[in-house]
Amino acid sequence: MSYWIAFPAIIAAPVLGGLLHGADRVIRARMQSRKGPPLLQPFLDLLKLLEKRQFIVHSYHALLALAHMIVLWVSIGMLFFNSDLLMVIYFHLLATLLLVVAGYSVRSVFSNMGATRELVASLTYEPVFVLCVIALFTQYGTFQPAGILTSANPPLYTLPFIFFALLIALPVKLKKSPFDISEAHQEIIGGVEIEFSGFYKGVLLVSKWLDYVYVYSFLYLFSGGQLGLALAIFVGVFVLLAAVDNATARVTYGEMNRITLPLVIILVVINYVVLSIQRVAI
Amino acid sequence: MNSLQLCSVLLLVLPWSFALLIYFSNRFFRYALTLVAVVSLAVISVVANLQSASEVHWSLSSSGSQLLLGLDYLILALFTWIGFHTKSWRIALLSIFQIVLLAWISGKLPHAGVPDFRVDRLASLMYLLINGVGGVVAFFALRYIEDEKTTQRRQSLFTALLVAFLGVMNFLVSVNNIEWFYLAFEATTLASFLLIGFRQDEISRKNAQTALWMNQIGGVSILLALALLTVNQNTIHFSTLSRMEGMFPLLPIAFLVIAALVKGAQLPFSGWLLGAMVAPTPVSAILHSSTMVKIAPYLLLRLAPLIAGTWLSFSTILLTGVVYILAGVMALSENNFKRVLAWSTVGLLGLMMLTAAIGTPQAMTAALALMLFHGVSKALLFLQAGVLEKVFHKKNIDEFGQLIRYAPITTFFINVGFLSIALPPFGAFVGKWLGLATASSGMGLLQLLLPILVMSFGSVVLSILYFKIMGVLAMKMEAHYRSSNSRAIELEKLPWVYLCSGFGLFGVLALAAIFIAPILANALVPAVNQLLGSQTVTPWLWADGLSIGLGFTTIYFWQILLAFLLVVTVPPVFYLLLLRNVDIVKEYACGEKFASNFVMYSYSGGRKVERLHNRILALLFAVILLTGVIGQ
Amino acid sequence: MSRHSVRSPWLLHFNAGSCNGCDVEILACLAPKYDIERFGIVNTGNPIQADILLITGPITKRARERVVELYVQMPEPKVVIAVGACACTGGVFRGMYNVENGVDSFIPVDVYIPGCSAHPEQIIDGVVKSLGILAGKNKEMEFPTQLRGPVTIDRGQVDRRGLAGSVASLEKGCTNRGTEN
Repeated sequence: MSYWIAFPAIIAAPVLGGLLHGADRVIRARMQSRKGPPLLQPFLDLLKLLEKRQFIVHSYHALLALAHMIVLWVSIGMLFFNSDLLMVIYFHLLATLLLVVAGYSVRSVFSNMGATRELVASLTYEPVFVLCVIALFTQYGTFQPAGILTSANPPLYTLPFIFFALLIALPVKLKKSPFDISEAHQEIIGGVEIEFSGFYKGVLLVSKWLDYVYVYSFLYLFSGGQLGLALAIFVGVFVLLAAVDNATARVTYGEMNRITLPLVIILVVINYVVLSIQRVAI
Repeated sequence: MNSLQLCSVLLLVLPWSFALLIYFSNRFFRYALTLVAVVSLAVISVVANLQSASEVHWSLSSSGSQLLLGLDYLILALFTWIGFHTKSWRIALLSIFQIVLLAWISGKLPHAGVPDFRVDRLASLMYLLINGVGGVVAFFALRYIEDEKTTQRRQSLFTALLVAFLGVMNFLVSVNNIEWFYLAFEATTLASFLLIGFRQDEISRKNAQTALWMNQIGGVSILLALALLTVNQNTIHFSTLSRMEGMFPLLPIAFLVIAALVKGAQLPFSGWLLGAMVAPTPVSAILHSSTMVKIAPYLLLRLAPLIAGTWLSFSTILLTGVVYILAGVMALSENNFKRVLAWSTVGLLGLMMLTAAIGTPQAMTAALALMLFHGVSKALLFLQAGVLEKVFHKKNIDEFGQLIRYAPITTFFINVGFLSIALPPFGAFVGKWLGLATASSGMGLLQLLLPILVMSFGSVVLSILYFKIMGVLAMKMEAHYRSSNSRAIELEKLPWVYLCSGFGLFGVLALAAIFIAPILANALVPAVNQLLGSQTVTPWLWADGLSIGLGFTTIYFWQILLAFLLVVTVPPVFYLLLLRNVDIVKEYACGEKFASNFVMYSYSGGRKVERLHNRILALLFAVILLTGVIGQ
Repeated sequence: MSRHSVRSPWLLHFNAGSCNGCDVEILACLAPKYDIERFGIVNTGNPIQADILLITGPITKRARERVVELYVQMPEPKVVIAVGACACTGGVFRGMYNVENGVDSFIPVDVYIPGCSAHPEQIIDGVVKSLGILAGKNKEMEFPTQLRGPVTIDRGQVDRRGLAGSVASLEKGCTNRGTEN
């Protein structure tokens, strides 16, 4: 991506993420035959949060939310600037760390438990992202998005099982049922987010949007830069995630690991076996 | 005699001389001599690295080698005596067996005019690690041991032992002759026995004995390798081994690999490393970060060109990979801070050996980077464990809550130590990253599958461990974490020795992070190329200014700098900031008035794993031997 | 003036001794038939992220400290809605030994929704009315009418952790200590 596209895209990333979040809320409501909030509801929420009186527990806790958002934004910026994908993933891990430290740093059971669950969740999705990148690498010979996006053969066709593995990890990353253990609104009231209010809750809301952008950027990689295919992937995944979110109940975190980890490993192994058979055949 | 040879001879001789002097000196001279020793050794090892473009070889006269053989017998006799003295049949039997074996071998050893000492780039890098990091630890130990309840004489003995140990390690990495490598190996075993048992209480003695017999298994397996090599190959030198062409028996190599795995505390033999945590903390630091356990990846790096692509390599990868993940899980359910660090060392040693065993240039560079930078990071962490123990009287993680409030500097060092293993831009991270980039080295997809699965899952397990502890350090802070009468954050008052050693290691980490590209391109990659004996025309990694360039990707300097800023400076700066015009509220407790005092970070997976691992891993050791036999 | 709160009001629902009749009706509002999410309303379980406090029940003596605590933990601007006859006046429990006769004896109430139990339509109407009141409020601190503790200002930080006082100070000399914590 040239700088002239990358810069505005980085600035616009939260807006795109916010729209995705809004659309997600609308489509989930429609699936339950509700009208649902307006499309721009997340932005209204953000504006509201900005004009509230600022409540904090202590300064370090509040500022860590800010650091979390900055690091997330940087990691997305690096993704758009055609950086090494593994670096992007580890920047993202740093963002998780900051949120976890924030979660632990207050005297709140829900926040502490949310932080612990955040860690367990990252055990589930981070390896999948890493495996994705390496699988892309073995197929396309580069760790940078540009090389993958310019190839003739989109990764979706060559690495379908890896794509399924990513699909399994997505609800964990985006905190959606059945794997929304780290947020778990009815259970631990938002987990790490619970002690943030006003501006700092708004910061976390923007972080959530950035997470959407991060995830959908990875999905975009699988389209190999073909816009039609990208659109199909986006719409398909979007509807699928909303449907699964509506249709399933939350599992415990032990169950989550027991379900996802073996599935992911099996899918990755299958994909590698298929690939190596193909290579031998050629 | 050129300057590199001079440097290495100095590095072999100086530590012993200094150790003798330190042993017979009082407090003032102990400080002065140790400082001089540490600085001079570090300077010499830097000079050695600057001179290491060409490797040097030299041999001893035959009387010299007779003397070393005599030393070997002496150490074994000592072990036998220890065995009988402590009524430990394991130690006694193992050492008697070794004496018999050594006597049998020493008659037949070939002396084919191959030089017995060889200092190449790898050895010089090891010098830097051993003397740089080991020196800082010895310096730290000066103050630490004063807080122990021992006499002045024993304090001197302790420092002298640590410095002498550096000499043993320098000897170990300079030898080319496997027989002398065995001598150095046994000498490190002896040193670890003495250091672990230093406190002389019941548990120290017991664990020292465990360390002794476990490490002797490594010794036995080196001797077996030596015997096989003597009988079949008529060579006992690393340099001639690595030049062997075509098919040759892998069984001796498999024995050497087993010795490395034992020394590297891979799981069935992890007991000695965990047990060594009862020793004074500098001992843990010097044994488990920079010196003794690093023998394992060092030996595997030397053997890697021989085993790359064989089933032996595969079985080694399997075992170390299993250990890498299991150790992470075990560490998660551990409460004692030093034991957590020990498990994480076991896991990371597994990763180093895994990457070394893959044997491609990328993977070996990864192993080397991990070995060097993990040494620095772990030393920093162990030293902070020592500070916590002596200054704050805390050993367990569940006592670490709110540590950031009254020990911000120590917390900062612990955070940097963990972050430098887990996250960019630090050297150990670059090692992991290169390990993942092994995918580039043209291996078969299925061969690649196991290392990649292990590395991606294992590194996240360990990251979770580090993040958990970093979270606990900031746990349950009060709203006003500054003291009420002053605006500034209160920094803890640490002894200058502790502060200097902490900042020294932090400085090394920071510099290495920023100049990682030239370090990789000019020191690590050439060292690996030298090991592989390849004169590659097109380098696969180069430094473009301060950016790391690989054929398939680039890590730009701005990314390195940005990562450094975000990882190292942002959290402390945010800690120092105070928000104004905000309301402080109580944490949510469902409307109740009390604050929560629950602790919510324990994992219990380790218990279940523990029951399984010993049998499975013992089986994997057998598999390694089997693959050695098959390789013939 | 708070223009944006009107379009994204987040609810906190607290049961202060209700028979669950009104609670069920509130939940019915969130469900597909009435769907108050179309106003941007979200039911958060968390006072420091909420704008509207919906209280049901007559405020039992057990509940009063919690009501005040939750109220002071909500960031201004905020409104309080008393849902149901009990929350408005104490309802059928008025004057009983164990209740405090309505929400407004402890915290200022902006909208009263009568009914036993209140209909979902009424609740929606009340919430929409409260939005008008919310729009007129600003960030000024609001205090409970009883059980009010001290607020300290330290280096530019308003410490309101003590703002909700404890019942012990209210009932000095009272022999019934059962409500204390």
